Amino acid sequence: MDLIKVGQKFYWQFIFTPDDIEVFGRMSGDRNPIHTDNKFAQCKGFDGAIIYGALYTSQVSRLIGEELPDKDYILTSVNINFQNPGYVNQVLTFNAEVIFASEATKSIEIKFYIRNSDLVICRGRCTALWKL
Amino acid sequence: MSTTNQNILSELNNIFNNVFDEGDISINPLTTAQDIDGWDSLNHIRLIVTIEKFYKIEFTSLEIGQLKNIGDMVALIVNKL
Repeated sequence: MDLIKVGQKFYWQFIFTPDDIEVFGRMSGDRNPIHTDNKFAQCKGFDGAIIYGALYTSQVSRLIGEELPDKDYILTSVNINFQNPGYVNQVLTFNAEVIFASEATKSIEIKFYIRNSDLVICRGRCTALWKL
Repeated sequence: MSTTNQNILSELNNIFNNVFDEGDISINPLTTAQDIDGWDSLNHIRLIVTIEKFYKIEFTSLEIGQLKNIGDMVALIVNKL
């Protein structure tokens, strides 16, 4: 298997359910009502309870662990910027593209977006190391 | 050391300070990984990738494996520019 090439793209759709919010709140210990209480979140100017920002990074884990063509990559960094709120049960899309590949270090850099329709929820970059 | 090599050494010094998130690293041709705190395998990868991007060059794993110090790295970069 060769190192992934620059320009290779990945795409899928996903949703976060109320169960995901509950599990993540329990796992992380972040019980801020902005993620669980619609009225509280609306008082802050949102349409309802907003998805945890850190929950979006789970899709980066999926990218590296499941969507790349082999199972030999490990995630080495994630840099993510949150631009708009997302809500439970929205159909979100994950788009990613390999933007750099280093043969010498067997590492790759990928940029990614998570969108709700045309609205960018978050964008970022991650790096991964090819470990044979 | 030629002007080109001196310029590259200066540019590398900036790269080192950015990669290692320090502001007081001062490298010279004899500097090795043992001389810089935090120069572990992952930071080594970040360093090499940053250098490849900065100079728009590509190294091979063999070339990287043969480097003994910063002087070797400067010479390798000069050879690829």
